[in-house]
Amino acid sequence: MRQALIAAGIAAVVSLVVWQVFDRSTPAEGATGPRAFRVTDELIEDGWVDGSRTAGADHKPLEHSASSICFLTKIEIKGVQGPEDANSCTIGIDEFTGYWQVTATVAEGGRSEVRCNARCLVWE
Amino acid sequence: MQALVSPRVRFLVTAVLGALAFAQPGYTHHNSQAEFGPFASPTIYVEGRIIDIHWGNPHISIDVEITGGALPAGEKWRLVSHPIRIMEEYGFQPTDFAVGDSLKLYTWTHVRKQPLMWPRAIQVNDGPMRSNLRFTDMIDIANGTFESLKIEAPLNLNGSPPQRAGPDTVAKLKEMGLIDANGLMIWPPPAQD
Repeated sequence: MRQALIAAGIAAVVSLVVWQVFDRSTPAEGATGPRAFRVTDELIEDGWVDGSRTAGADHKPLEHSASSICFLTKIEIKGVQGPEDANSCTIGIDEFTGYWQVTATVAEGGRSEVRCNARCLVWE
Repeated sequence: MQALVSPRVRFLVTAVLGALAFAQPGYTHHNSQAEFGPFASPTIYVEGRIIDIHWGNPHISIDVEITGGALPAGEKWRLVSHPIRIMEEYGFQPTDFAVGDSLKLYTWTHVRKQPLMWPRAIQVNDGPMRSNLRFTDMIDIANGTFESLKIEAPLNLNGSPPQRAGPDTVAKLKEMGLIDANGLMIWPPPAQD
């Protein structure tokens, strides 16, 4: 149920952004707007942390945030044994590179495994 | 249940499971070749300045502002490398790096053009150019090009299993007398009489 709600929320946000972008793609005469859209493939390698080896956070850059928006496409968690297994998949902007990044995290003390991946809508 | 399984079978199952548990060839995290190309693929030379250091697992990373070499000066790239334990096995320590230090790198860049570098070798300030990928060292040693690169071999090259460098490289290293009876890399080369 929770996953369905999260998926519905993501779909709503992406739809809103797409609608906003397309709405701006019919600009007034002389104005410029995005000319092409594409959706990227998933990353070659998942963001991945195996807590049975070591906990931590794995950050994977996606696309430059100036011309894209990204969304999670994969959340896979294995081996949860207790409340210490606090795993997450998040998307945020890396302030250093300016890129969206997907982050897989296994909190300190966790022994489970998390895999995350994402795709992006890019306008050019 | 115990009556159905003989002690001998239980022992064998335990032994096999135990062997599997300890049979990992080493810490393998991400497949760097999928993201940065094969170990033998060409590198670029880049100079930069350290902006930030993340000495953590599952792998360390260093934020670098480019100052010269094959990438445009001023660009911001992230150097990614091994987990902490593997970095230490290579001979790197967190104290080797500090914000503001200059870096010289022979590096691969991400195949999908994301601003990520995986260094083949790292030089901090005026220190030595140190290897960060022993399997590429093995390939270069087998090809006879390693010494000309002036790259310092890592601490874990000697005694390392060479299989990930590829069968052709392993065969050449054997011919060169650089593989011991256990199939492990010998480095530096044995003294010639």
